[in-house]
Amino acid sequence: MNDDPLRTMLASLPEPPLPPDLWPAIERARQRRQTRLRVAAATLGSLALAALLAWPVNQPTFAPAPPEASRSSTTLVATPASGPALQAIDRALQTAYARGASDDEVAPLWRMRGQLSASLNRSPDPS
Amino acid sequence: MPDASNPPVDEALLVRRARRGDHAAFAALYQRHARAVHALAWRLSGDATLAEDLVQEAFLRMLRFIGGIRPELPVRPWLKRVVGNLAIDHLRRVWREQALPEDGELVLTANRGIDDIEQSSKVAELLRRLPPLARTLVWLHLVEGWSHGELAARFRRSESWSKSIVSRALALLRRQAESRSTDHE
Repeated sequence: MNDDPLRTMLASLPEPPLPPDLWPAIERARQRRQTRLRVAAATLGSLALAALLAWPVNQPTFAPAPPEASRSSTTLVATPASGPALQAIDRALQTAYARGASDDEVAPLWRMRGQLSASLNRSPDPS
Repeated sequence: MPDASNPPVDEALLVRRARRGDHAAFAALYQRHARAVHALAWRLSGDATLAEDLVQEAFLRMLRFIGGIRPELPVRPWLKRVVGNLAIDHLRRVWREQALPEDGELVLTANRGIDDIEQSSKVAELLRRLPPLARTLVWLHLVEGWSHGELAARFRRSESWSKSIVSRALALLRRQAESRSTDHE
C-alpha cells in the first residue's frame, strides 16, 4: 500500500491553513462547559449541605445492634441515614477530579466533607 | 491563539499538566496538533464549517477524557482517530435521511473549482469531488491506515462493503487522473 503512487500523492497534499477563529471558538465552548460543571458541582454541594443541615444533630449516628446480635456487648452498626450526605459530597469530588478541577475548586467540597465527618464522629451518644 | 514562541515541552508533561486543569498546557497541545487534525477533518468532510466543528469537538473530547489518555502515548493519533470517528458518525446521521450507496458506479460531483482553502493539485480537487462516503473511506484507509475491518465496524457494515467502495473510488480517481494527464499532453 505504501508504494501506491496515489497514496503518496494524497499523503503529500499540503495541510490547509488553520482557521484563526477556531481556537477562540474552542475556548468559548470550554468555558461554557466549565460553567455548566461548576453549576452542577455547586448544586451537588448545596444538596449535600442541605442534607447535612437536615441531619438531626443530637440523634445518635450509631445505633445499638439488635438485641439478638449482642447481649452485653457494645457492638455498633451504622444507621441507614449516615451515608447519603457523605456520598453526595464524594460524588461531587469525584466529578470534580474527573474533569481535572484545580485544588482551589475542590477545596470547598473538602471543607464540607471534613465538617460532615467531624459531626458524624461527634454524634455517637455516649449515654 | 496559543503562543508559539515557547520552547518545546515534553508532550507527556503537557498531558499531565492539562489533566490538573492547566489551561496553558491544553493550549500548547492544541498548538501542536490542531493543524494536522484540521487537515484530516478538512480532507474527510470537504467542508470548511464541518471541518471546524469536527476539530472543536475533538479537542473538547480530549479535555473531557484527558484523565483516560495515557501520557506516554502520542496525542495526535488519538485526536485523529476521534476526528475520523466523528466524521463517520456525521455521515451516518446524514444517511438516516438518504439511502446508503451500495452498488453502482461512483461519479464525481461537479467541479467546485479551487477555493481559498484548497490551492493545491488536481488530485486534491478530484478527492473533493468524490462522494463524501467514498472520500472518507478512501482517505481513512489509504492515508490514515484504517483497516477495512475497522471501517466496517464503525460504519456498521461489512468489510466487503468497505472494500468495494474503496476499490471503485480508487479506480475512479486513477482513471480521472490519467485522463487529465492525457488531456494536458
